[in-house]
Amino acid sequence: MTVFLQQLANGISLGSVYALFALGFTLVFGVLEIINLAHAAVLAVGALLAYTLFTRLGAGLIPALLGAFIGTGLLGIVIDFVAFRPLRIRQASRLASLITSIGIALILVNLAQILWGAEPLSYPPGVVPLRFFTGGGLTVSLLQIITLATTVVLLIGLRLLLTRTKIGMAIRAVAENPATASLLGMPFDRVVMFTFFLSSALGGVAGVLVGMLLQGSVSPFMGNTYGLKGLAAIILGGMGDVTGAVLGGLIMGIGEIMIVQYLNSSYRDGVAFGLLFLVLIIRPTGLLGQRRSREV
Amino acid sequence: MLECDDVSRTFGGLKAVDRVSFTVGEGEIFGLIGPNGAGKTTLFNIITGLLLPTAGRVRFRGNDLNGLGPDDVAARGVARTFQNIRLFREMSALENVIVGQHLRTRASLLDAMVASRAYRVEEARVRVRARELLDLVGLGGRAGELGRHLPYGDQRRLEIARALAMEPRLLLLDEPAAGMNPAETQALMVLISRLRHEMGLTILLIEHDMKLVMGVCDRIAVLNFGKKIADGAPQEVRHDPAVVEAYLGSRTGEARTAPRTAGGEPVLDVEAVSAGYGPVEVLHRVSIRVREGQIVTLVGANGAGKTTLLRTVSGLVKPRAGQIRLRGAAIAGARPDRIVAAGVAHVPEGRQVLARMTVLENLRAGAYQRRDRAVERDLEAMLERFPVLGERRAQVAGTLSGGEQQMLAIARGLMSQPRLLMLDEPSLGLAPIVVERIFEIIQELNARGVPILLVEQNAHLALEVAHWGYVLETGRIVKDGPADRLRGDEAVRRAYLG
Amino acid sequence: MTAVLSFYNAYSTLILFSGVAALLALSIYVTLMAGQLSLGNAALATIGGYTAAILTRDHHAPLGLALASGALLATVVAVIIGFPSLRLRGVYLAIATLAFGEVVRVAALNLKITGGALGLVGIPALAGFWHVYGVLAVVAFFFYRLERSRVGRAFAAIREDETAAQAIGIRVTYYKVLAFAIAGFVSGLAGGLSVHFTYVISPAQASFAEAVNILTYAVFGGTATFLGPVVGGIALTVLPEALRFLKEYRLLLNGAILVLVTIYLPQGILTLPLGRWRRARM
Repeated sequence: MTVFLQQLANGISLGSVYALFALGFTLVFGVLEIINLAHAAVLAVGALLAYTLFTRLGAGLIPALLGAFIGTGLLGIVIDFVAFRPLRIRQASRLASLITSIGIALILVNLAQILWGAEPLSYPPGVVPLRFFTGGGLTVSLLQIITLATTVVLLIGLRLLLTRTKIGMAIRAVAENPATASLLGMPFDRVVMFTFFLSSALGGVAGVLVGMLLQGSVSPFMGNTYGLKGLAAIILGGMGDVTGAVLGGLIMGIGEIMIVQYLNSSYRDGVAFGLLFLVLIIRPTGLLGQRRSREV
Repeated sequence: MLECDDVSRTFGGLKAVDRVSFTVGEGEIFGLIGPNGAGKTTLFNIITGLLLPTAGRVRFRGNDLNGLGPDDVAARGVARTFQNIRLFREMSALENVIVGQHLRTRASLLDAMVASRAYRVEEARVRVRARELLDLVGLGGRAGELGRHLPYGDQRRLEIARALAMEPRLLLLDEPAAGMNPAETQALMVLISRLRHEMGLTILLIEHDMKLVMGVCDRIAVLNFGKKIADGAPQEVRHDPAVVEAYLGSRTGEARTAPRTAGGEPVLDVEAVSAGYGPVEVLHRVSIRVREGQIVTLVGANGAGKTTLLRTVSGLVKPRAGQIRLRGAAIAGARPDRIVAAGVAHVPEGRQVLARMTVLENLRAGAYQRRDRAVERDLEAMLERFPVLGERRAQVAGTLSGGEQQMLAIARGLMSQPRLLMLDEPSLGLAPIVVERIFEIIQELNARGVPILLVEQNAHLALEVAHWGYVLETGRIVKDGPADRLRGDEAVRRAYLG
Repeated sequence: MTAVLSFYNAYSTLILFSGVAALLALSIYVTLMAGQLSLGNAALATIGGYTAAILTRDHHAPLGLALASGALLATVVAVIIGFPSLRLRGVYLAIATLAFGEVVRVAALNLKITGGALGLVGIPALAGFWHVYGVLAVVAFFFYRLERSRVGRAFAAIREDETAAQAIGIRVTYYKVLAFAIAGFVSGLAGGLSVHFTYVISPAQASFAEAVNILTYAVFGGTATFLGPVVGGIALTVLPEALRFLKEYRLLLNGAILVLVTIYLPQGILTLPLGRWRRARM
């Protein structure tokens, strides 16, 4: 039983990172109805940015997280401007946006390779003090607590943003009904730009957290698995739904840890995707997804 | 040929089609008319297998069509065109008609691989036939042009040619004359007659253009709110009081307080505006004016361009010609958020509340552009003015009733403290008693000084509350004048019923 | 003549790879013809490759039989995947096929019969120029005639507007599955051919990266006609070699191609010269 609880705790920790990443996906999907596969590359860039902040500038944890947040946020704005906006102007199909996002991912990964090299990197050991807390048979590291705390803070922040601020309301309005949002005076392009900032910033922070949780995982290619897993998380939880993304992320995280624990570990990815495939076939809207007002 | 027997279709709580029965005999040209949202296209979708009826049966040549998918229905001999034109836009006109013959071709993939004799003969036949059909609809000279490059009227005719390629027994036409000018409509009428005489087709058509309906149909059925309210020869139907009421709306019994003669400075000036979507021109040099303190109403049949005009003013559609001025400032072609900033509030058709947000949030959304501190105070005032909304302030907007949503949409529009309030079909889909209340509110608002541009299908009601009226018919203003004088005017009835 | 031969000898793998790339590009093209984006063709090719490899290496089967078996198995799997995917549109279908690809990759990684992470080695060198380009020629001819057939027209109609296609009597379900089946067969063939001149196969061939490559071939070459993917596949295999000095930027170039072509040349590079030719075809 304690093993189960322990792995549950581990799963929640991992799952919260997935949730953060999936949120980024879902925000963009909600507003533009496109799947931005470059998001995974953004995660890698975030992790790498933090690496530089840690090693070159000797930055502490919070500044590094902040740096990654803002840096990748700005990157998100650039991506929208370069890749997605031209397609919106040309009224291209959603598949075209998918393809373009793949292209941007490739470009980002290659640039990251040039700047940081292809070898996997680790954050310097002092970044998060190695401390453990034991209680009730469970051992939890300080790192895991920090990860969970960061995620929770960001989630609360996002929720406050979406419900209490004007721009947050604009994002929700545009996601629901862009024509009406325009009639209420909400500037579409600016809302999209802000959404991309937010989405990429969250992805970047997720990258830093992954880098901290898993030694030797920071590389330009780290986004590959996370890309597909993040996709699985939002499809599971329902596209375009913020709570769904969090739920989906947690399920993915817990599920993955459990599979490693109780089944053959090398099947872990395969089961995740098998599940994804089944969900798509049986219930494409996911657990919490709903019909959108412009779908009809 | 075709029998609809007590056909019904419900969506959630809404009865889109309510126990509709009629028969179409072989070789007949049968028209289906009715106001916007009456259920006509839904009925077409049921007949052609795109939708399942929730009750009733459809019989074609004696056989049940229920439960068959669209491809099977097509195979039985039923062809259709679509309200929104579903051409294969990246194919040429010729290719569209060639692929339309899919059901009449049999060459297998193997035949195609080896270019067998059967294949070659069939390919040649298919091309010849395609050209014949194109000539028949008058597109012979445009065979090589891409679907999306064709002018609108030609696109409609191409869709008909493609449907004919199936060699159907029954042809369903959904608004075939929409967007056509009078000359094209005339040509279409000739074509439809030819189809019946030369090809022995039975034709069922939905149309709003009364000239065409009256000119070409043997019989018509009228739908309103999903129910059939009349059935018979065109001449009888067009004067049937129930039909007139369905289109023009009912008069309420009570006399309303005579509107004070209004007419201050012009608030909105629309000058010779033309606008449209893609290749279609919906508005032709339309000019209207709204003055301070007035309620101006724009009436006309469905498809006349009323909603398009509002959308052109609020910036969702860019005008192709003409100018629009709000208190003198030119706003034509500006971005919607700028136009809102200038003081226009557009309450759209179908209310369009932000269903996932609460009432309170919707109202705040209406005040999005305001930077002053009085927003919260105005919010409270709004909730007091509309107590129904006040009671439900924390309720999710999607769960409100139709009337409540309409009130919310209007209140939301008011939150921006607009200089001009535009209402698009506020009575649509609402019960009469609710409509009464909404129109009372409209009058109250106006009494407080808000100029209102009211677009309504329910012409009688609109002309009762308005000071001035414009009658729009296929994109052109055909009459305007003080509302009380327009009320009994034949021009209005003709604009709807021809 | 000797110059040609020595050129060939020096670059034989590259030339053969180009042919395989063209085949793979055609396999994604056929589903695109019917309006479906399937990103599972790398996985289907891998299935074909493993099957053929096991047959020739371990059971000494002749090449033709091995290729046919691989292609058939891939076809069957494609149809099984294709059926449920019918309900999915656009992006959802693409993701589902991606997920399928990952499942195949993980399976190959773990099953004993596929040799685990290292894959299979020592596959007999049975495929040469005429095998690869012979198959390519036949398949290309098939596509040439497909585009001019009733089936090809049905595909195009489905791609343009499924509802309208149904209204004309086209059995959309049947044709979508058919497209998947053809894609499976061609991918399976391509996979089977490639292992017989590279001598190895590994699970990495079913990866996301490979699937993206195939997509890039088709997007670059253009999807207006079958020649597009063929040109795209060959060009994008040869170009990186020719631009060897840009090796570090390989991904970046691929990415830039995808972005630029999607935005500015949505019909692929062949639009420019072929614009008028295409209209004359009908």
